[in-house]
Amino acid sequence: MNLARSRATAFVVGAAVLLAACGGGDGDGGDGDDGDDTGENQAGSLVTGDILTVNSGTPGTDGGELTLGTDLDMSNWNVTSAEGNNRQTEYVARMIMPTAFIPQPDWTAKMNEDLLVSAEVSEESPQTVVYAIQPDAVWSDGQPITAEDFHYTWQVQNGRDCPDCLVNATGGYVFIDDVAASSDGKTVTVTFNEPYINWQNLFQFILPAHLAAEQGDLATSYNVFFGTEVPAWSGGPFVVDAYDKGNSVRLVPNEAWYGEPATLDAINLRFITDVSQQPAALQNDEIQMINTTPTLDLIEQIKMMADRGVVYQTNPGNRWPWVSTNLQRSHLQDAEVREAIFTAINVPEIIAKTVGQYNDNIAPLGSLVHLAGSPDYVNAIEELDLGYGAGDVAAAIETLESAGYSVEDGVLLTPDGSPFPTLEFVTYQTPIYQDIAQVAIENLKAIGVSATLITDPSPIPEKLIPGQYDLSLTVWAATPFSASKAQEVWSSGANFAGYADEEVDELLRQAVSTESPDESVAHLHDANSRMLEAAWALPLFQLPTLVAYYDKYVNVRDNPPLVVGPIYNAAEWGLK
Amino acid sequence: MIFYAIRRALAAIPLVAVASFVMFMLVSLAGDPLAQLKSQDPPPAATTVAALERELRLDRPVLERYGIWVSGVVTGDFGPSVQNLDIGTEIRERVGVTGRLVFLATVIAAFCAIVFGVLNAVGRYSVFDHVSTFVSFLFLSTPLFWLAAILKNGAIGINDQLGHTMFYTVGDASSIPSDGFWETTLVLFGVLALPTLALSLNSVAKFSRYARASMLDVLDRDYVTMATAKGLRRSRVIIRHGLRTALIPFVTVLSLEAGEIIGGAVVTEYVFQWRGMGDLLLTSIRAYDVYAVLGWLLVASTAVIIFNLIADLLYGALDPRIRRSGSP
Repeated sequence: MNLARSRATAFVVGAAVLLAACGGGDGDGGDGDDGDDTGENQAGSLVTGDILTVNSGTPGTDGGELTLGTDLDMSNWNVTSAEGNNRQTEYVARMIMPTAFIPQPDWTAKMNEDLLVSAEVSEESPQTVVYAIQPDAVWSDGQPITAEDFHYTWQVQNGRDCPDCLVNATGGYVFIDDVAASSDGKTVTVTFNEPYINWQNLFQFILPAHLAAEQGDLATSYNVFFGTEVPAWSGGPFVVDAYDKGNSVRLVPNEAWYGEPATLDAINLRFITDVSQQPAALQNDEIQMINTTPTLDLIEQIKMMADRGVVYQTNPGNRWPWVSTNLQRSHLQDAEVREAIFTAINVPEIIAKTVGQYNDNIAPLGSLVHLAGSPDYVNAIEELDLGYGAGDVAAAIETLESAGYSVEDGVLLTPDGSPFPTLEFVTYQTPIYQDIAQVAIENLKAIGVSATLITDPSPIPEKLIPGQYDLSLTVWAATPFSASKAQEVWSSGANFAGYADEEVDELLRQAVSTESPDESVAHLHDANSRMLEAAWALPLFQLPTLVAYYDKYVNVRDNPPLVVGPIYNAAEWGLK
Repeated sequence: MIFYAIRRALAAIPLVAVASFVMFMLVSLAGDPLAQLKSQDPPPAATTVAALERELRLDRPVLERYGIWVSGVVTGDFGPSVQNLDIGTEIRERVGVTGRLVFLATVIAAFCAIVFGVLNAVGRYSVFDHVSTFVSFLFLSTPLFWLAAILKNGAIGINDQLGHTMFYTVGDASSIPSDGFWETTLVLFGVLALPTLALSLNSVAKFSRYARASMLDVLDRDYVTMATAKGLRRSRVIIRHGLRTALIPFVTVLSLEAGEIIGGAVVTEYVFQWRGMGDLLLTSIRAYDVYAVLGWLLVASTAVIIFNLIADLLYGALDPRIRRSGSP
């Protein structure tokens, strides 16, 4: 009897312990009036406004620090190299390297007036751009920033002068014939061997030539010195003060900075490789900012921190998923089939079931060359009345029937009566892309097309380039410099779908090589229309950005064209 | 005994060699280490990719790569890294980080397990015994990552009440510089507390069951009954006569479980973002960094072998019968 009673007691006690552990409580405490996690500040934690001026203000307090969580450690310090072409390196680069033009939140590029007095095309044939460097622009060791730095930056990235430089992309540098200096070195004359409309995209990250000269040949300086050594130099508002491998990078104001001094005493980058651990660190005030791709769960966690003063900004970002058909597959040769597939895919439904759960301003994208938010954006799918992405099953079936296909008992039959093959739909292993693909696959069932989802951590080199797919969902990152980007990804031989159109190639070439921005945009629109009418690529929407931070900071502002978002004006951040 | 240990150590060498070969093949064939680089937008220049492939020996057959790796390991060269790591140095530094966590957690877990095990055995079937049994199984069945999340929430609440950050939820060292001995000590305590607690709670639950069972077995022995009948104090009987004998199997189990604790540390390190061996493994797998993964496997398998040997030696050290017989 005693044994039974003691067992019962133990059970009751244990159950009470379990219930207490699982029960909720006002865990936040703090100074909230109600201490309720679903408090009234939730709705107010989203910060909206003019994307160029939101959260603007004059810092009321000098000093302070801000720690930003990022998901990877520094593997390479040279952001222009292949190994350094990543977010965490660009965070540091944007704060320590001088740049000629800075992408702005409204998808334009603004001349960096701290570095340059002027930058303009002085001649059209050959295209010649003249940069006038500010007289007081210097590196952190006091050496002036000169044309030599521009010259070195060009040499290591043009693919000719330094074949052993592990550069990420030569980009427009291949079009430069020469970079010459004036007598005092403060005027840079860049001569092109053919017109290049996106010249403002060049010299985004300028390297110090005087330090490179001490390191040996170009490849050694570029690959080893700038790549593997922690930069002790700077030409920007901040300089690296300390690097704790695997933990953090600390940047402090550059004492030799020639622009408006930074307000904060330090900005720390904290490496938190598991993004799901970042909200707890934000809540615990171990970091004060998160800049990442949002998920529903992440947004909900951030809303729960509203009473702590955590707010967030979210905007349509620079990354956009799109669906490609493999034109090398025989069963996708008929344009009607591709048109029907694109018509059946319901982009508003995909948005509603994915990013639309936490972002109201994501809309279907209607262009392969410009993003919504860009002043040059035109929804060509609507303009051309193509009906793609509408989820219009009836219209899709009508298109199929016009080509001799039929849908019987939920199965698409080819003109010869055989069942349409099951398609391989390839995408990344990232959950959101799988979700998007799954909805699209469900959409296709309505027109009798079955598809199997195949995921891969790196689908482009593993599946798409070898042509091992029928449909693919991939993601491009756009920049304000649309012409060069479009030529890079859509030209014959550059895309992995096997799409080749000489007229499109010529339009893209003209878009890059014209001197007139208006002509460039017009050529891009024409190329875009032609590609969309060929029904081989379907843009979906722009993935949203997320910047979450404590509202005690002023001038923290999202910058969707940049993968590093708010860092673009880090020198202006301050405490209210 | 010593010869036995040496024989066991030598027998482990071919085992490690086979394991390294199998792991090398599995990881090498799992994917392309440069796949993520090639997927970048814009993609890197072909010359860059070719140069990196040469650097990582990807232009050589897999068997040749294994041979080069083996010959390099003997001289301390663990091979090139996709993440630009000096793998040997990285492992040395991270072993210290993980070792600190595992050592502390094991010591705390062992101490608590012995205390609870003895109390439970002595007061078998009491209310305390039943309650602690229930709680033990609760922690035993709780996933470590979930336990860690609960601890984090609790710590954040405590920090709120205190008005400053006493407990840290991420990192094995604060990114904020600290001055002075006491501030540094407090910061160290703050970053150690939660992960050590998470790992040790999980282990205490397991070890206390071993300790209890072992103690119960000993307390029922004739010599313990004899010691009690002789009039010795109860505490003396339990600790001097009972516990010492009960520790023999417990200590050997502890040594054998060390490998599992290292496995638990992988999860703990990932959740709390410690730059230890667990984090190295996970980030290297993500990056298809073959040589870093192999370096990790080599060190981990060696550690397991060493702990097994320690278990054998401890068994002999604690049990005079084993020592005198010369073999376990």
